[in-house]
Amino acid sequence: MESGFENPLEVIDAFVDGERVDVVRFKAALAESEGRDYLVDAWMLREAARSDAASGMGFAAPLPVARRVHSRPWILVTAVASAIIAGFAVGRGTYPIATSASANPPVPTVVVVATPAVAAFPVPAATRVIQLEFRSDGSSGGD
Amino acid sequence: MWSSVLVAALILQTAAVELRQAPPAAAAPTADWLVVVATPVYQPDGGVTTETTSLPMAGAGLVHMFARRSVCAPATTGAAEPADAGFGWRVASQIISRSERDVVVSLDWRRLWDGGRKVSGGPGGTVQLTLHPGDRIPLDLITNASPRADCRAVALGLEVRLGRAAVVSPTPASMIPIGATPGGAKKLDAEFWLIHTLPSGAEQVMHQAVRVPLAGGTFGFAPMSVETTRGSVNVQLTGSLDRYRAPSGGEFLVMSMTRLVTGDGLPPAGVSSSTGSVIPLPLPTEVPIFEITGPVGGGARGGGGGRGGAARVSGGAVAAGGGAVAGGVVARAPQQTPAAGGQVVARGGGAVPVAVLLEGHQFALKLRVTQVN
Repeated sequence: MESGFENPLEVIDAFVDGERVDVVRFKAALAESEGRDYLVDAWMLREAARSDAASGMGFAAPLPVARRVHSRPWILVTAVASAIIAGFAVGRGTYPIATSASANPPVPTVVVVATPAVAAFPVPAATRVIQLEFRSDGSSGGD
Repeated sequence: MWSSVLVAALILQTAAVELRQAPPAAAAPTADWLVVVATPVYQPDGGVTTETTSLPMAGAGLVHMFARRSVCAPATTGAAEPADAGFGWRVASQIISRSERDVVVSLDWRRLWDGGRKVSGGPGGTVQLTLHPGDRIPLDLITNASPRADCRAVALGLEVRLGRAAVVSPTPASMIPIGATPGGAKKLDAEFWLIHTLPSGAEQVMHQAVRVPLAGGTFGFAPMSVETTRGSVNVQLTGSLDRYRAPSGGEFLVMSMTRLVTGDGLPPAGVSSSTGSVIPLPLPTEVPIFEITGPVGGGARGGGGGRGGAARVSGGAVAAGGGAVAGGVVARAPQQTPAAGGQVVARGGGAVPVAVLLEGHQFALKLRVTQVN
């Protein structure tokens, strides 16, 4: 399911989501420090989402969680599943404007935060001064 | 029975396809609004220093906003918990929807550190907010129980704001030195401090750190509120850093900034203006400051080239087409008077220069870059 990634970091998302991934691309993604940071962030994000779900606190649209299918008469389950799959396949085949773009995996949503080694505060002293003048973008006048 | 199930599946499939093709909503970031999490540190003199970070344009996000030994030095990390936090929060987010007018976001926040140590069962909550441009929603406040000489702050807050994302436009050729090629050598972490100096002398500072890829990146601050005798206006600064290499091998940055002023008595879309400058890639120990003159810092004087303004600098090479290049030590310009020109905005019965409108509020932007290994 990881083919066609535009962002090389998406293979990490796929891995964290438990999907099969291309080992070469996965190694390549982890070869970058950004990829390793992303793996940690993605893992922590999913951990947080799971812990929230477990504690009853969660988002309106929680991350997908695998559900256990309770025992039911097997014949009924098989029949319903077959009908749904068949209907889905027929609909997919007959609906004319389903595009491949709509099937693309979602973009990664982990926040990539730059973390400079030096503290941001107190504000460092300026080493040189550059003065700028703003010019109007529209018709409301100029500087 | 089976035929009805089949029909139901067909309907579901059709609905699913139509949903995928519906006008972009949560998954497609068409609107250019950024949800910003901020931790303002309130000083007794009215000054405020604020760490900020932007949430993802869509989907889920997780950040930690914290301070270390005192509340006076706020910082932020991504999903990984900081090991040395003494005060702060974990904020998980989920963008529900966005439109041209607002963003709906679900936030799960919790205070994880207080009094210099990790706490369990701290204040927290899950809220769904519909944020409009300029909104500023406080979520929590940690009071500074033991002010010291090196940190006299009153409190550290946690807020959510909505700001405009930077609109990237191609760098005009006039600003690019002859023979330069696009792209930098290594990724950068760029830090920006937007400094708003009030007429009283108190400073309100917003900090932001962004990862800058080889081609360049953008930054954007949530609006800063300016209270004037004519009413309240918001000043928002966004911008971009484009990276180039000179034929000699050195790297330089094309910095573009857009300032949007909105508020009482101004046109509904606000008053937008822009400027730009070209500077050599600063060393990690260098901190250039871009002082914004003209409509914000005072009346602007004539002249200037390039797109939307010019840097008043000395030293450095001259860009193709006459654009200004900042390349060396720059002398401070003399104080300017609000009446000397400035962007003019129609307010009520007459035209008022933006500089006059802002009544002496000064703005400047500091920059520090470090290479990412």
